[in-house]
Amino acid sequence: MTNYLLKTAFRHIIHRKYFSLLNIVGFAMAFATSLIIFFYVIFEYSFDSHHEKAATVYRIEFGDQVIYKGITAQLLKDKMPEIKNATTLSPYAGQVIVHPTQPDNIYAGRVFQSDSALSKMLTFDVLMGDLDAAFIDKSKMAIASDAALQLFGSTSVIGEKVLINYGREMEICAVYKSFPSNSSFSPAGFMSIKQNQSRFDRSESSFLTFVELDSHLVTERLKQRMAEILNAEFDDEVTIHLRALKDVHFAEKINYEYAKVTKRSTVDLFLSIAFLILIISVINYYNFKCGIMPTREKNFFVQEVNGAKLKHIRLTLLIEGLIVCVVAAALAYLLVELFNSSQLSDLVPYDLKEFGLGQRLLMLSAISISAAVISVLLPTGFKFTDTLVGKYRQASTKSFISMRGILMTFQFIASLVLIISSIVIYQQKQFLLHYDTGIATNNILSFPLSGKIKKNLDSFTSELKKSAHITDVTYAAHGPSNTMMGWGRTIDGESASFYVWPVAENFLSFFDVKVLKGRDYSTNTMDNNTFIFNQTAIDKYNWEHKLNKQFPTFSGEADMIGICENFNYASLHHTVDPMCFWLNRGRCNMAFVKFSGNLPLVIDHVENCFKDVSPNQMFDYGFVDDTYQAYYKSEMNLFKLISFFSFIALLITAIGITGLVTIITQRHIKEIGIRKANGARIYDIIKLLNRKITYTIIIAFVISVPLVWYLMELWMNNFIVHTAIQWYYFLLGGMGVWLLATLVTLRQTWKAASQNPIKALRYE
Amino acid sequence: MLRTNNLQKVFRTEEVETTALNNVNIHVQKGEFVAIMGPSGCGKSTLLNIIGLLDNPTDGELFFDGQEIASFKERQRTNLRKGNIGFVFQSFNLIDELNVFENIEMPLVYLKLSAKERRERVQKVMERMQIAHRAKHFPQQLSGGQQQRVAIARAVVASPKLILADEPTGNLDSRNGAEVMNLLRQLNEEGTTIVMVTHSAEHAEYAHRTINLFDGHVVTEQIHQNKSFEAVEL
Repeated sequence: MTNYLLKTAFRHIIHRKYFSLLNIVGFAMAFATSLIIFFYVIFEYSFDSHHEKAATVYRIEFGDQVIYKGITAQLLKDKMPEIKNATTLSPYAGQVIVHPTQPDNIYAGRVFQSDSALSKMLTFDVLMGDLDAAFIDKSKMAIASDAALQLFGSTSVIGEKVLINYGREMEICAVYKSFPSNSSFSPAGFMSIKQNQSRFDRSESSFLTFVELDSHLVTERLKQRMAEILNAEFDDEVTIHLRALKDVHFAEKINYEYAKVTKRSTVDLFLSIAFLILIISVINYYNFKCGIMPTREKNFFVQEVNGAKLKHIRLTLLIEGLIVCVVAAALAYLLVELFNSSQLSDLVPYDLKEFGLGQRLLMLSAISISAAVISVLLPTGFKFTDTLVGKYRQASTKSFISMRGILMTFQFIASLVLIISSIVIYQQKQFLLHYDTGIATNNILSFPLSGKIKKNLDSFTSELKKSAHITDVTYAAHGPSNTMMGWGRTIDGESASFYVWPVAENFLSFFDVKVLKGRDYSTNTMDNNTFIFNQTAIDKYNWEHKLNKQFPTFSGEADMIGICENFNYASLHHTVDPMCFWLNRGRCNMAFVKFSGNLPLVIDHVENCFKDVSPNQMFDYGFVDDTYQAYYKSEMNLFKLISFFSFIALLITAIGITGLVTIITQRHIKEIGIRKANGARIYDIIKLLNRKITYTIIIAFVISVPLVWYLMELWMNNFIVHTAIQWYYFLLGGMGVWLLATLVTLRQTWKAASQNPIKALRYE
Repeated sequence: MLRTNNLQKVFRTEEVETTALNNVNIHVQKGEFVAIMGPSGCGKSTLLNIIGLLDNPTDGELFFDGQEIASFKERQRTNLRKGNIGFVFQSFNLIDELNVFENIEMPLVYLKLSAKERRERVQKVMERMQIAHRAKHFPQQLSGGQQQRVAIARAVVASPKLILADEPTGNLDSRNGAEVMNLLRQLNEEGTTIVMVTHSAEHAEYAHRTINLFDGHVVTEQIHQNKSFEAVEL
């Protein structure tokens, strides 16, 4: 029996090879797309899951920021017995680890200071040495395996020395396996927080606090108690939010964020797209199945009169669905491989290779079997007894045609939503790229400095300026960025938080940042350590009167010598927060070169200057306007991915329309013949056949417009500035979908319409 | 073997009610060959469908081997049909995706016979119908006469007690039509009961008896004098 069913199903697929091919291609594209998206979703939702206590270790957030006083952890642990462990972290211990004898051999990555409670709360895979020693001994540190491998080519580096930020020498006491790529933070190394005396400074707020608590104890009351303890201790008014480590990756609108964060809504959006594409492909299969059902009735009828039961027919349909889906899954596997080896794979924020053959096959099997089962479970309108008495045609056809109409409308709505959204996202991208950020970013080359160059910045500058094409040079700790150093201070008895950007003296004039009050930096060494605050900081904390007054720094105090205009130093996702420039050449790790004229000559010259001093270090340059664009990289990728997936969805819908039009034309072949015999022109017939699809698109369009409008308004709210949604975006999307639908149907309808009516009538 | 009692069939749509059969009483004895004739729309095919358990009567009784079966549920009807009734249609109704052998084999698959037995029985019936040389061919590669022989082979392969033929020669030329009728006569002579709907008076002559229907009524019954049939069972 099984052989017989398999044979019948297989032969039907071969016999109906046109529809089978359309189904297989449609399913394969849908399976491949959803596999890529499902793995992306798994990747994003599994962040920090390698830490065994990811669900019970909580990051404390203070109002809208993650940093607070250094003694918070100890204070809460002492006063709240339900806290099992509490630890303090400082993310500002260092940005680079340098080989002790090779100043050009550096590993760029954040080094954290913490205490031994951390090793009880996070999961470390210690490859070598004693991890706790790093938290106890001030001269020792633990480093990640990636850092050890880059610096020393091996993980057997216990006892080796390294320099932190080209300065402090530390001895390696442990090597732990680098945290996986789905970690919200990937420290290059850990050292003891005992080195950091400012943790006892009650005016300093730049420390992270983590606590370990049983999940059921995390209540509003508990948070309130924490706030009461802290506010009483520091005479403050903070509110407390506890975020489990596993959720840190999805934290939004948090200041001084050190972690890798992603918008949960983006991940969910892609998940919806995957389901949408799968639904579209299942609808295609279902529509084809129903469409050719009347011609299959004869077979089912013959089978039934010869003894088949309903379950045999159902089994035949299921086996057919499974064969189509298995072939499609195999094709999908090849498509995923193709995607992975193409540049398109750069668009997804994870490496597909992390998911092995077994996982891919398992996922593809799950997707394809579900698709097959759902396709078969959907009612076909076919009933044994109905077929036999001919009820099917009389009673059921009408309702099932309208069911197909509804499903086709749904497909068009999905395609329209994706296409119009792509247009809006593209317009927003263009808007952002051309938005005036208030900072001159054109024709500026930037590159990281080597250790040797940092020691001789002035002579390096002179060498650079020897080229007639180079008009200016400056230095800073980093380029425009939203991951700047964050300082929390108590100033005049009030808590204040602001970003700090260490720069060289000509940085503001170089980037055309206007000084509104006071003065810009001079070359006078007296200006060292001084601050220039932005207008937002002055407005927020009423510091106008503090111009030329002293502010606390890491060591001692220094003047605020000027107030500059606001500019977007990070992406347009972020509002302009309080920040200040800090004249500190020692912290400058990046060079900025302004050029005019021949770019290859400029790059050649800069590289020569660089290699003259550090011949063994890679000259890794970029452009500042590219850096700005990089902030929108996620949007750019989102745009490209949504466009790509919209295209796939539209393609699958087009496959569906092609199949449906074939069915409609075949069913109307006699009607076409009669109409033509009675004087209808080819144009009239094409119009007749396309009428239903055009009506369907119009209905879908009417439903899509408010839907897209609402969704895009929601998305635009992620930006502090955004473009207006224009009415013609909708018209463009609608026309595009209609044109595509008409084009794919034209060949079929033309063929049917131009046929000799006699032939058509005989054919029927 | 087969008896109807005041059989009635009414088709209802939203606007129209059509009586296809009205108080039809017929009686077919085991081993008999009965032809049903009448103009288009008189209810011949409806009657055949009801006798073949493909359709339900609106009213009346239907007896098969003395058992009342009009009220049977779908499962019971399928089980009774299986192996007991064979069908031959005007349009052959062969499955395009199956070859000659597989089309004939189909009823045996649902009877769950072993592959060996199926093969033997199909081979035997193919030889008898002179289509063994076409075993691997698909329906569209055969002539109309050959297709109908395959359909008859399928109808008899499970050795049913009753064969119902709905205008089996309707799509055939006179030579092929005569061949098919000869085949049916042979089957009848070997003991299979046959009820055949036909438009052709010439082909009705092959039967022992002709029942004439008009507007859903049995109007006349004609016993063909040159045919001898002895009832073996009522």
